[in-house]
Amino acid sequence: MSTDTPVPERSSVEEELIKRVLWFITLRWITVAGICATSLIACFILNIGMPLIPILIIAAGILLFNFVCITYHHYIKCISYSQYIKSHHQFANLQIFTDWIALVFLVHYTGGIESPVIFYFIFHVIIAAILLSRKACYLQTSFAVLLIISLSILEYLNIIPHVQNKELFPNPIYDNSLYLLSILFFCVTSLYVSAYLATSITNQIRKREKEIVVLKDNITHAYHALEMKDREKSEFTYKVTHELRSPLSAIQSLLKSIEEGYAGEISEKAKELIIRSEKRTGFLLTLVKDLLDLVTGKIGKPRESNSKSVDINEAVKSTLHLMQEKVKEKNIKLTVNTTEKPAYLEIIPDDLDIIMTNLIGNAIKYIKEGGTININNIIADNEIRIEISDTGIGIHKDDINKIFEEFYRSNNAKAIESDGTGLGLAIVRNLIKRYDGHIDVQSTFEKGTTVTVTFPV
Amino acid sequence: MISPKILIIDDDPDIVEAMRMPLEANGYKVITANCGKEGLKKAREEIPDLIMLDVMMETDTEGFHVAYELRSENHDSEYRNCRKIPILMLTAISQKKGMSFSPEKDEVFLPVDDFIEKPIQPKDLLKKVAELLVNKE
Repeated sequence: MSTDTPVPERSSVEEELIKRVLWFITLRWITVAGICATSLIACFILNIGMPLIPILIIAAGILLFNFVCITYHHYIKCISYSQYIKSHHQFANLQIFTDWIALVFLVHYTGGIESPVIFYFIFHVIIAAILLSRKACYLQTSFAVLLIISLSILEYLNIIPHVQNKELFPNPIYDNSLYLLSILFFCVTSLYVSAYLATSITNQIRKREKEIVVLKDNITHAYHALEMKDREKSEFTYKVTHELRSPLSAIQSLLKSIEEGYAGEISEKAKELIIRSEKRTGFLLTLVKDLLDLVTGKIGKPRESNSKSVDINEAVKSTLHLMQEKVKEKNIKLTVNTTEKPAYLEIIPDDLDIIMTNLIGNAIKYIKEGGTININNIIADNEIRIEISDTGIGIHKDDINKIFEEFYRSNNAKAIESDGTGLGLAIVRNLIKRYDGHIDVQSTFEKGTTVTVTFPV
Repeated sequence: MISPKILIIDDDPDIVEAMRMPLEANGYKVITANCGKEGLKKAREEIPDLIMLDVMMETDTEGFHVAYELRSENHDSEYRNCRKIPILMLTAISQKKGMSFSPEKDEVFLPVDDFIEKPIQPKDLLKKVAELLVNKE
């Protein structure tokens, strides 16, 4: 395989997990604010008597812990990403573990098993399911269950003093064993059911994510392989056509010398046959030239020359100069609207030459005697535009999408000119693409065609 | 009148033959070399009136190196007597001059006097040869 395939990206699943760890840390700031606000409101507005100082100390503890977490997150991300990928599970486990401890303290100071804060254990079960594996999530849930049971039993046995919330529960019920059992039963089952539901969903999502990553890798791989094959094919075409060029040139040169009588007198018939052969080799040479132009554009072979500032007015003028005989021959009415100031384009002159020769050549080739060709050079804000309109044979609407295909020639074009390679527009499009330009063709069948080439400046 | 001597440096014997026929028919004396090295040697020994030089021979740019060698400004150059000989470069299709429309001067300037494209058109060839020989005098 090629060596220039990009370095495998971080799997998006891992990337996502790391993002979620950060999200978890962010949530904790909000939690701290929530704890402070709720306890202050409960104490001073609702006049619920509870130990405010220990609760605020717990909040401060969480705040401090979160500072440590965020610092560690940024630190290890900078130091070693792979290390982070490996250890982010432990990091998440540690955070959940610490949160459970903080939560159990909060529960204790807000009334033990009677505290409404006990519902908040469910949040961490869901977070554990999102951040951790299924097994780790169940382990964490069990740890939470253990904490809740221990707290309630220790309070029940009065090993830890129960904090009574007189405003909410005028008569303590934490020492009612039936109440204790039923609360514990529902608390424990809701935690495990939450763990089950959350892990089922996240597992499914993770499986999909993994499938997508694999699929993406496969597609990228296949795309690179295809690109390589296409390049190899173009290089092959380049070599073959290159090899064909010299012998064809030699044949053509020799035929020309014979035709002009330098190899001695030849009969009229022989001369006619020679001219016919020359025409055929001439076509082959055009084909070779077109193929070379085409694959050169495709494989981006370095050209012999560098790009330069070329005035498009000059380019159009010089192309027309080479074609003036044909223009006269067909009695074509030709108008060229140049730009007021020179319109400079950064381009390899040979490339612009090929583009102009093909497009103006087509206009001249497929026009009837006495037709009109208009060429407009335009400078707009960020682009240079060349419009070539002709009153030629036009392109049928069924053909308009095919004319840029390699070797495609429309029937009406074949009828006028039998010797075409069908490569001209493919070459032109490839070259224009190299300069981030684009080509647009508007045509009415049997009426005429306007080709617009646009280059960014 | 002494017939002008033309040295053709090209590794393709058929192209050489195709050029030799019209040139000899028009009274030129033709000598040939089938590689750059031999071409340089013959240029130094024979001091022809004109050199026709192919670009692609053993390497894709052998002709360029021969041209640079022949036009070397170095005073000790073996080819200092060849500096004034006009060079007509033979190029295949799609190897253009690269000076088509540019308003400014070409930075990659080749020290040759003119170009002719393959396949060879005898009329074109004879015209260019005659022009270069006239200019030389």
